[in-house]
Amino acid sequence: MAETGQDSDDILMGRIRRGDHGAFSVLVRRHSKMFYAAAYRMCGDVQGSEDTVQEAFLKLWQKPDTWDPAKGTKFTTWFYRVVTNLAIDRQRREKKKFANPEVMNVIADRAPHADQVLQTSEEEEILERAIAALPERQRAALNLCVYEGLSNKEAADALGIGVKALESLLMRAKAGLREEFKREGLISDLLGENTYERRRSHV
Amino acid sequence: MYEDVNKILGRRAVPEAPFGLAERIIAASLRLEAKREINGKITLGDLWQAFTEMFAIPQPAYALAIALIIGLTMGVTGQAQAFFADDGGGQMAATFALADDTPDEGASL
Repeated sequence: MAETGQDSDDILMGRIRRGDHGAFSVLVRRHSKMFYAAAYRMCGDVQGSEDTVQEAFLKLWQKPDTWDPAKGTKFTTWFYRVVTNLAIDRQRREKKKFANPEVMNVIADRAPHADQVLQTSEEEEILERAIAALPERQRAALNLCVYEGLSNKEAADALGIGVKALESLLMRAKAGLREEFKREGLISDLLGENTYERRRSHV
Repeated sequence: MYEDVNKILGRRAVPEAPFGLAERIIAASLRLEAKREINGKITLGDLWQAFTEMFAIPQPAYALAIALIIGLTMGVTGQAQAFFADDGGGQMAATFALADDTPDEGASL
């Protein structure tokens, strides 16, 4: 079999279309960590993120023709879209499933995220909570541009929207976060005083 | 414009992927493939193909040539006749010959 380790994503996808499982394995090993991080930033829990990435890759293996290189979209940009959409779908399902608050309490104790939250600092916790509270489209735009390092054009492609719409989502996300950070005292208020630092110094 | 927000966003921890994630995905894809093969419908054509494959000779020309050589060798050396004379088939022929000479019990009555 031909060497696939150095091949570009486009070439690997061509081989996957012909049923080359070796090429699929190379692609998974190359990108699973990156897309796991993206899924985690959307879902916020380990198991959900792992399931999301696995589902995305299995869909790719079953239907590789869904990515069309002729459209000019990079493989990774297209796959961010797949992962983001699956993560959003999963979150919607989870919200419906755990709409009952009693069930939520039981699940929250068992969720891996609960342990991780204990380990993070208070500041990180506020940050995670604020991002999680954003509307899903704003959160997706923020994650893709700030954390995944996509350009505005790439992020817009990944979300299936125009660049202007993406910029609007980003602005609204950051404005919302700024309000939340101010409320929590993470950033300086109008007097130029960091209330978070002040609160910590009193503790 | 949002320098303060960007600064805080930069402090967000990078989630680390669980160990062996890629290998689990690859294994799941193989299981999926095996399942798909099992669930595939079996047609009469598939059965016929499987049947004919049981009798397929990998090198028919060589097989024919070897069979021919063995046959000729046995014929020339006369081993074939010796074989038939010594085996049970020869004895059976003699038994039938004796049975013809024995008088029928029903005929004497």
